[in-house]
Amino acid sequence: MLMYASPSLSMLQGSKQFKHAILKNLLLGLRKGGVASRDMSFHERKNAIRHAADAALATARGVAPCWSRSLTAELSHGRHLRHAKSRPSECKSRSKMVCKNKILRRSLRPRPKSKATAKAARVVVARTMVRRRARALREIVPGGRGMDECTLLGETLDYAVSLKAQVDAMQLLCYC
Amino acid sequence: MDMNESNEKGMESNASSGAGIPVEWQCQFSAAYASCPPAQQHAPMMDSFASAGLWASTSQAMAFSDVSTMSAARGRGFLAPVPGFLPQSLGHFPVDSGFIERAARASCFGGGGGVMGAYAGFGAADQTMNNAFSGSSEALLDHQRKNGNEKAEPELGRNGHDDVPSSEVAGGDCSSKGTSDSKKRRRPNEMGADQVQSSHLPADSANESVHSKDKGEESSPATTTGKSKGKGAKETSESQKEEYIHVRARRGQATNSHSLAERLRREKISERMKLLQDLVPGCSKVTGKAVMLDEIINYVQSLQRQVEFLSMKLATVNPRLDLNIEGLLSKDLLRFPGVSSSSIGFSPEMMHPQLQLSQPGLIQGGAAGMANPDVFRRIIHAQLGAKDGSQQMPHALNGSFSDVTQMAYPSLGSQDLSIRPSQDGFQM
Repeated sequence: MLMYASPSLSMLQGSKQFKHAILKNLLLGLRKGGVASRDMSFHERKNAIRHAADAALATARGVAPCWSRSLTAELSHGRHLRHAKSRPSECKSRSKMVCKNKILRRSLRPRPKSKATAKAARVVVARTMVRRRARALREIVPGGRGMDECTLLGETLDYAVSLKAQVDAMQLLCYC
Repeated sequence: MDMNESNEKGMESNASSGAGIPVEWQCQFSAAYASCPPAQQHAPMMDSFASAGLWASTSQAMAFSDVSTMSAARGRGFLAPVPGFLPQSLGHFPVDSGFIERAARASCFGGGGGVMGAYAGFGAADQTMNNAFSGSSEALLDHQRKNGNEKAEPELGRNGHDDVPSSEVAGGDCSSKGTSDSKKRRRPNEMGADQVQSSHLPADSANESVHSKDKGEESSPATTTGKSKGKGAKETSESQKEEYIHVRARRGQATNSHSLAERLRREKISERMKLLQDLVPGCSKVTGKAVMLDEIINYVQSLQRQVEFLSMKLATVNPRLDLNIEGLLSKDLLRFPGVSSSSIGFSPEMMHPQLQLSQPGLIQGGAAGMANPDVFRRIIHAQLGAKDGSQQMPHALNGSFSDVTQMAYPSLGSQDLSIRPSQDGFQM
């Protein structure tokens, strides 16, 4: 979507307020989650902090981008599910992609789909590679499942900028 | 006292170097735009980075002196004076140079008078933000199409008002109202500015009344105008006025509606790929969608991993956490991000080298490092040596910050602004 093209720009411009909002939400969420007071194991605490950080990011960003809404939904409903699948999916998607690309290239080389020219084969391979990467990107960006490539790129842009702001805000909290 | 003096000295020297940078950009713009005094340019940028209360003064000197006194009082201030001119350099630190240029062209970068007052408002409503984002995104894409020098000034006035109140990020649904407003405001200025485009304007004004139904189609009139201007347009046979985007076929290209739609879609995708290319550090040389997507995936994954590690780190820091939460919620840190967050771009970069020094185990690298932190790293190495413990880091930073900033800025002012400001994501 168009609006996601420049939010990175304006977000970065106004990024101080954005990070401010993330930080504030994070602190509120941490306090609400009882992170400081309760006795938790290390992992529980870490998960609580991450949960609070993601919630802070999503609420600070608002409901406008698709990933923000999906992230909120994931956090509120499928929290354990999301955390369970986030790690394996990261590793798996990349390795799957690599393997499939190799296999695909091997299978495509002798037999280009409809035309005989090598150039057509290259085009098909390139398109497939792009598709696989788009698939991997969909798994990474929350809510990426139901998007076409164009919106996916816009969402990715927005999401990347927001993640960056989240990282900066957490670093502020960490180191002061 | 010493810090104060050195801060002021540093600030003055940096102010001059900082003043040079927007002036450079202004040279690109038309004379009308450049007539805005540079001092005014600085002030809104500063406001954008500090909380409203601190940067109330319009003049640079006043702002700097305010900051320096406050910083001296707080003892954290060396961070604070930095933002004064950092908006020039740092405002672009988080932003890549490509973004800077586009922002400058799109004049989204706080120029003009009305911006300063607007910055005072935090947390605007979603609706205004939506409009602003749609408008500014319009502007951004438009300016990417054309060398929007002529449009810098009208964009300036509009985007300044639009963007700033909505500095909170909430790019909402692209309201057609917002975009058509921006288009209408832009077109008259266009007509005045560029005679060459006058022949295309009738079609453009026809496009003005088009309310796009399709998502994200608002860019197409602007984009196709830009393209047709360059290539010599042929009339298209796109259908009714009210509901579809008027697209101009380029010379020698098929006017089939399918291929036009496809071309639109491809153009949209390539627009976004370009923006992403500017966002992800180290991708300026990358050509091709697949490799670019690879880089994007790597970048997002590394950011997510960073969040993981930071949450792990926060979990280990727990004993301080309750003190932190209660204290920070009530007072300083929430204001400091306003003050020192103007150096957010700066301080994390300062801290990253130290991170590497003291906590290598916690850090996993993403992609390549940036050119800039080498400067910082060297400086910090020289100043501080290796220190462990997060306790010491702020103090270490405190002591050497004035020196560091003074040393850092000459290099910043000259060339590093154009180098990867957004690469600091990879420092860890």
